[in-house]
Amino acid sequence: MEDASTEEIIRELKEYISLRNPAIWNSLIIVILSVVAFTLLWKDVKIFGVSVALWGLFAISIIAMIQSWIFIVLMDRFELDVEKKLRGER
Amino acid sequence: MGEIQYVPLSVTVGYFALVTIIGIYYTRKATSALDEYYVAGRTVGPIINAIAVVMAIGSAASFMGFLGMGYKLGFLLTLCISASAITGYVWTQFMYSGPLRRHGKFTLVDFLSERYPTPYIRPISALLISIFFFAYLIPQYKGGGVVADSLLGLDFTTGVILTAIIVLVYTSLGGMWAVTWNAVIQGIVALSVLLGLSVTAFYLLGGWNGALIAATQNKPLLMAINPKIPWLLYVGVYTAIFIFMGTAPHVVMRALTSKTARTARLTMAIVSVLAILLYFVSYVGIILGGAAFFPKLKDPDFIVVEQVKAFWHPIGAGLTVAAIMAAIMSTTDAMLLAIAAHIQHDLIELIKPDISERTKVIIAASVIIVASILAILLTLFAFRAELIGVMVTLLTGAIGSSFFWPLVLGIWWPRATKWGGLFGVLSGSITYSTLELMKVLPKFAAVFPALIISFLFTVLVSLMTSPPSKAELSLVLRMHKLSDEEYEQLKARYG
Repeated sequence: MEDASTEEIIRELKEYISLRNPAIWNSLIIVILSVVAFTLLWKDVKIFGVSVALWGLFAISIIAMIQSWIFIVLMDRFELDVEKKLRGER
Repeated sequence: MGEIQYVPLSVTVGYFALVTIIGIYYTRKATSALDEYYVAGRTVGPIINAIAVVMAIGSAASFMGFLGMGYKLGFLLTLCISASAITGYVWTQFMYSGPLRRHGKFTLVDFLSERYPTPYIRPISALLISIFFFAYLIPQYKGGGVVADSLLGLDFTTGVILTAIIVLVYTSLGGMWAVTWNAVIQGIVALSVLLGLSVTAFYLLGGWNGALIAATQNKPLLMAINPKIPWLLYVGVYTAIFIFMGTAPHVVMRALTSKTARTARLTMAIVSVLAILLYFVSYVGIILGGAAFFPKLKDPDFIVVEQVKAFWHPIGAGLTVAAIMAAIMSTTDAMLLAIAAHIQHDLIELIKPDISERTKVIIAASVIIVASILAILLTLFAFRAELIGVMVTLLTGAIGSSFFWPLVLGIWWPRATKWGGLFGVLSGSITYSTLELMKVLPKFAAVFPALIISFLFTVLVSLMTSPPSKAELSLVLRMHKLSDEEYEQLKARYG
């Protein structure tokens, strides 16, 4: 019984976390783009003589902020859909 | 010590009187229940909470130190700080705020000790946070002393002691309720002053083009990559502040004051907008103005103060003192409350669990008083010459290196075990401290190896030890699964 219950929790957890991948990916994209920006800084890449890496980094942060507002509503709907689906399955 | 400046002093005293009255007003409420003492009864709305988060994070570094760093080392370094603060808040919104709100405990240590239930994680984490936060008090008190010395005509020592006493009075009396409402007043005053100063600089210099030309004539490298700065330093500053924004225990506490996971996310979204105003809009004008009007400042930390002295009425100077002191005070009282919570809740109660509610509040207040006195002594006699921005950035790296991966993996990787979490905290903190003390890397860059080692230890030790228990897995599930109440609210909202 103990093993079965634990198995059920693990199964449910996997479903929740895999269904929430968009939130994780959204956050990881911020990190990946930041790494790209710092690679440009490391290589001293310039466009029209201007080092764009750190301004690019700032632009990424503004886009991330705008995304965060969009995701407030999307995450609500998303979490509701996930919950409906998983409650319906049980 | 110069001549006492009575107009700014009166404005500052008036401000302090106001926040002290607010602190005393909420005393009765705070001592009636420990829950209200620490998390404001979970009744504050997202806008109020967002201002409180910004002011808890914003400190002498945000209002003096980082501006001085930008003036001295180039605006692009502060652009790094702006970007890391904003993206750090967005990361927090997505990765932590919902799950941590559903977890529903008081502090980061509560989370770690429940998620990683070894007997060691609670005292070790509590001790680390208490040490880091205690060290964080020192640059704050130094900032208070410097501003009082420069703008009020008081001497440095008096300024430090006065700052500590005022913070101590309302923090020990009022708890988080007073801190929350004081933080709102402080946030409005501080943001207004810095934005006002930025607008003043642009106005006097004839807009963006005029400011840019005047500033770069005096400091040609102000808006370019500084060749004297290793690129790893830029990356280190960005990473340290990014991981700190999401891992900072006082931000976690603020997330827990939200009514629901949804309001926790909304709070962090509002915070990211406020971060743009604070760390970019105000910084750009003040740094350009500083370089244009005062290109030869001996101490870059006084870039704000010098412009206020030159361009504003003494009442404006008083408001500036109030704003900077407000930032210092709001951070300091959040830190003091966290230290008190950890020592009382996570260390003393571990040894003696059956103490009364009244004794708990007395212990919390005593810890706050002792920590304040020790921090005053260290500020005056050991760390007076250290730069505020450098001290604060080093501490953000220390906190992030210790707790970032155990927190992220604890929420999102169910296979993370109690031993993995414990070794993640230990390896991150030890690696960071050792590398910074040995000075083998550019300043702030120790955060990288520390994060990599903390990640590897958390993952590898987890995979080598027994899988998490049913209780640990149930906790992770609770963080991701909507409660019935939350589910019904969302259904009513969206159908």
